[in-house]
Amino acid sequence: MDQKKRIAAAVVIIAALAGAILAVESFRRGGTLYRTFIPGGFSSACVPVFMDAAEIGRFCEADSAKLKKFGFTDKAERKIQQGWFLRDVILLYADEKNLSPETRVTVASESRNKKADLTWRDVAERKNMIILGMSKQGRLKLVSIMKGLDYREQWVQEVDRIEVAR
Amino acid sequence: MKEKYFSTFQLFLLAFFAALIVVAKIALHLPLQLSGHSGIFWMAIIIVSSRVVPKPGAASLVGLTSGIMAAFLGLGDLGALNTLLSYSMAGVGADLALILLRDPENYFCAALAGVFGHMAKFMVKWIFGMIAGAPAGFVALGLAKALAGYILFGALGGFLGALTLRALRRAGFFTYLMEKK
Repeated sequence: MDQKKRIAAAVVIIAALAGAILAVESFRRGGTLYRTFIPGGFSSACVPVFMDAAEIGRFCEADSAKLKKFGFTDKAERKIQQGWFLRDVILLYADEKNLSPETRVTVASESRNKKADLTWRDVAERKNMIILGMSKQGRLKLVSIMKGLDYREQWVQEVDRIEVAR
Repeated sequence: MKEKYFSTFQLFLLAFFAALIVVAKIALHLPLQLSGHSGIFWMAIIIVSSRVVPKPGAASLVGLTSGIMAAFLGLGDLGALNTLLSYSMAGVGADLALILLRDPENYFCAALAGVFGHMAKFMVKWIFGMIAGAPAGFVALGLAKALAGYILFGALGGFLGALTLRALRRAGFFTYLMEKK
């Protein structure tokens, strides 16, 4: 094989490697390829909702259809964050009479080892925009514009548990 | 008696290049906020080492040795194992590329070998980031941009290596080496 062919082969190998890395990453992070091959919607299991340690329901894709979507534009990346009010999700399974302003609401992700501790007062206030949005991968994420929960680092991605403690 | 693959003099040279990589990593900083910009230094050194000791495995040994030194010095942002593997793979990648491309004094071959080596280092960091779940800096900045940076600076490093090798040849360094060997 002459030098030109060897150089051409090397260029092809580099292009293939770079393409493979970008393709894998696109799938992993829910990019264009992921969205092309895997249709949207809740791709993960339903998220259990607990009240005082007892499971009172599971929030699934079918349940989300009963709720109205809201959204806001996040200040860091100027992206629209859309989803369902956490308040509305909880009220699908819990009676509002049982919830006081001081009731604790915890939204957690075991896989990310993250959680957000909130009060029902915060959650019930619609202007706080405490929303369960959906990531590109079809996983729920807690987003908000409320002070103390208005940065991406404070949001909870891959939510797998919602807990209400009176 | 069976002849050793690398002579003592060659091992000394390779150790010197390995130390040079670590020193370059610590001392030389380009004011560029781009991923992989340090590759311009160390891929140049790896390419030069592969011609100064013209045996397959020379670049890998330089990578491994510099990786051990860097790991002990606490360089790198994802721990000692990541540092060791990423430095080593930069050498292994360049070595594998030079098996195909052969001539590190050719500008194209050297640049491509530099890209291979630097991409191998990138892949180690990327895989570690995936396994650990803690995104490396380049993932946060955008993987495609970071990968492009690694390819560009790997190629520049390789090209710089070829320039250095040609300068060394003109200065009679390889004739000197033949006498020393």
